Amino acid sequence: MLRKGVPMTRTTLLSLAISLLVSGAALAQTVTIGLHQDPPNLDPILSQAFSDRSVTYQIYDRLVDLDENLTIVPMLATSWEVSDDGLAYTLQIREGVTFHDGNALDAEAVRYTLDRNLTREGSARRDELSSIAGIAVTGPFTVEITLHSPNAAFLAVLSGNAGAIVSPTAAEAAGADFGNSPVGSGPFVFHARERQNHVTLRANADYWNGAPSIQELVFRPFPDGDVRVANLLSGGADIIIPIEPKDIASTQAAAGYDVVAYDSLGWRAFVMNLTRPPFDDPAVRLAVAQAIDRAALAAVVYDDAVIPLIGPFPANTPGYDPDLEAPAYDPEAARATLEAAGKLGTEFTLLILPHEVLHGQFWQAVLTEVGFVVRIEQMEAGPYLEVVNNLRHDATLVGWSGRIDPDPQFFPFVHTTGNLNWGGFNDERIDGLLEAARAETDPAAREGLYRDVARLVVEENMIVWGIQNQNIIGVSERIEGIPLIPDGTVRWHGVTVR
Amino acid sequence: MDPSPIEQPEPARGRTLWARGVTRFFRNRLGLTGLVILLVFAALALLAPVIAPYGVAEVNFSRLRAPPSADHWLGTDELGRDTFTRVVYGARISLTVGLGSVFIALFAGSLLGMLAGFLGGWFDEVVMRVMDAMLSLPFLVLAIALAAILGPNLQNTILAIAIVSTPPFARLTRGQVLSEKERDYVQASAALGARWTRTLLRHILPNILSVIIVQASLATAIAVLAESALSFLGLGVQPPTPSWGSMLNTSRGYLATQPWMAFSPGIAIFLVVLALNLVGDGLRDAFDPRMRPR
Repeated sequence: MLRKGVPMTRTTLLSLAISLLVSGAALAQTVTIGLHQDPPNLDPILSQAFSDRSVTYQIYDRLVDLDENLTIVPMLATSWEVSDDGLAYTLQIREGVTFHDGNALDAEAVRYTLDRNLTREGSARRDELSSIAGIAVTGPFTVEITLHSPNAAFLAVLSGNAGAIVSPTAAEAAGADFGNSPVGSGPFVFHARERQNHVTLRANADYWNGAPSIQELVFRPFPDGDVRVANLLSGGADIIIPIEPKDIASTQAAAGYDVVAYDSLGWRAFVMNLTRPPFDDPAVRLAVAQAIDRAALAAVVYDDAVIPLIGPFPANTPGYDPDLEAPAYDPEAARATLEAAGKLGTEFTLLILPHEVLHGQFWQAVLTEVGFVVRIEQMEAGPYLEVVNNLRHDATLVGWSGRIDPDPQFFPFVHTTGNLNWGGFNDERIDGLLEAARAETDPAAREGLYRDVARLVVEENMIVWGIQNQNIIGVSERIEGIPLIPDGTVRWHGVTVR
Repeated sequence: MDPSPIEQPEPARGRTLWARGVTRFFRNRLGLTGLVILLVFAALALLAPVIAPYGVAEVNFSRLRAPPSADHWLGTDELGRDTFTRVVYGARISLTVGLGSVFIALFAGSLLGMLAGFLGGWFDEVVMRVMDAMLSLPFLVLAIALAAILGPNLQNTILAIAIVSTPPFARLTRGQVLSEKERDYVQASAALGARWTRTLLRHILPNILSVIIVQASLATAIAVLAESALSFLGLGVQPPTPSWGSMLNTSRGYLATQPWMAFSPGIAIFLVVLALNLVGDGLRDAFDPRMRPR
């Protein structure tokens, strides 16, 4: 503080200069985002991880986007028309959009991208877009997509990485290495990345929807939840996605920080291998369903930051069925069920990923209580996928980030051909209903079919759901205006920093 | 351990030497303190089912992460399990792994070292170069690698720690045998026509045993720490079996809000490792007067 009558000393001037410099840096507005993992791949066709989308959604515009109510809203497609038979989609592409490399985005770029999604070796988008029969450029900014069969989920798919439009010039030049030098038309431009350290994006001053107010986004991986929250509270990150439930209270208590929790589309469930003992026996599965106290699960494992869930469709998603019923929590009944089936003392191994240890021990405790003998086996993601994809497990805990459409939300887990069919489902009734739902164009009838599948799976306790995930982020109060879109990916374009 | 040759006084008076060593150990207050702490933990481990007030995996969802109280002397953990119970049962794991792995390492390492030192030649070269190669890798890194390869469970934890604990025993024993081998009593035994196995086991072994025992007590301290480290990393015993290392790992996230969760396993590890070191130092002083600080 300057005292009256004392002339400004050199030190004071110097400190003033420094503080001006510092505030100058603050004006540059860099936001550091702590993620739970280093985003594995920034190429939209190769991306499979949730963490990728935190970055790709800033670099690439998608054809359509979601709003906070999960309504599909225009993005690069300003409007769309669907033919009466549900087989033809005509998209009007936004004019005057340029890619970060200076090339114009037009209908041809959209055609190129969708074609790349469908044909490129190793594309993770091929399944999502498998209903496409043909893509035609019918005008400089008009694209017509035809489908093999009606697919009510089609537009929703285009709101994700499958609808992320890449610069054809850059994608051709980079080839398989495109993930390391991604070029899109989004509000932020890829600047630099160092594996396991950071991905840095800079504001796109020429963005069609106005330049973002944040100048720089730095994504940093902090796999350990404790390290993540420590970085938030010490200024190493301005926001962490996600924050662990146990750190919510202490972060809210810290001055200058807040925790934002909002409904996710995802869930966690106890998935049993139906192809072999002990869970090929409906009585054993019923005992599991009767043994689970979902309120306790939410409280013990997630500090009550999540909501109990009994089926595949949370209340904020289509397919939700308020009348769906699962067996009530009743440990005595569960024990009686096992006993009646002569299955008291049934042994099995619960396969879990390392970050699910507490969750796994919860299931172990409640199932031991009713007469199971549960061994826990932890496995890293690589070998874990190897085991569950080949159905060499008894049971496992599955976490799902969720999709807005009931088809991608559920089909992969319970259809015989589903790519996440870790229960070994092979049930004609389920397959038939799911296939009928894919072809059904009437939204209400379609939703009814998904409810029927969900009821079937829950009635026979083929999967036992536990809780609906929440998107929980820890954030500095400097950051304002984060749109709370249930898919859990922050769109940084409209966010401001105080 | 200092592998340099240590001269043994008057080898013929083995029994009195042992008796005198034991007497000296019991006069050493620090060593005795260590022994008492160890015996307490050993008693806890042996009598765990009797002492523990709760079941080891008995959860109580209405008392999560509770502070120490009359009902739960050391509080409860993240599933409402009694921390005192789990510390007591954890002693079983720590001591089993510590003693078990060192027993294997002692047996294997001493045997290899004795044979290498006594036989010499190519056998010595091969064995000792393998031991040197193992010693060139950091102890814990090698243990982690082995545990990860073998898979996480109790037997494999013991095996992994036993393997990495073996080289120091081999080197130490070999050095001892090399220096003893040239002494008159060994020469005499050979000159009288004793078979080499007899010379090695009846004459040399008793004279180097005290050094091996000192090394064993110190190696046990390291093994207990190694078990905690492996369990901390999820490579030791699997839940719900309690291990002090895994208890530390889960309580790490609550250090700011429920610090007592980390105190109990942390103090238990500290006490056992300290006690083993005190006993080791006491044994060294008792059986090797030359090393005793004056």
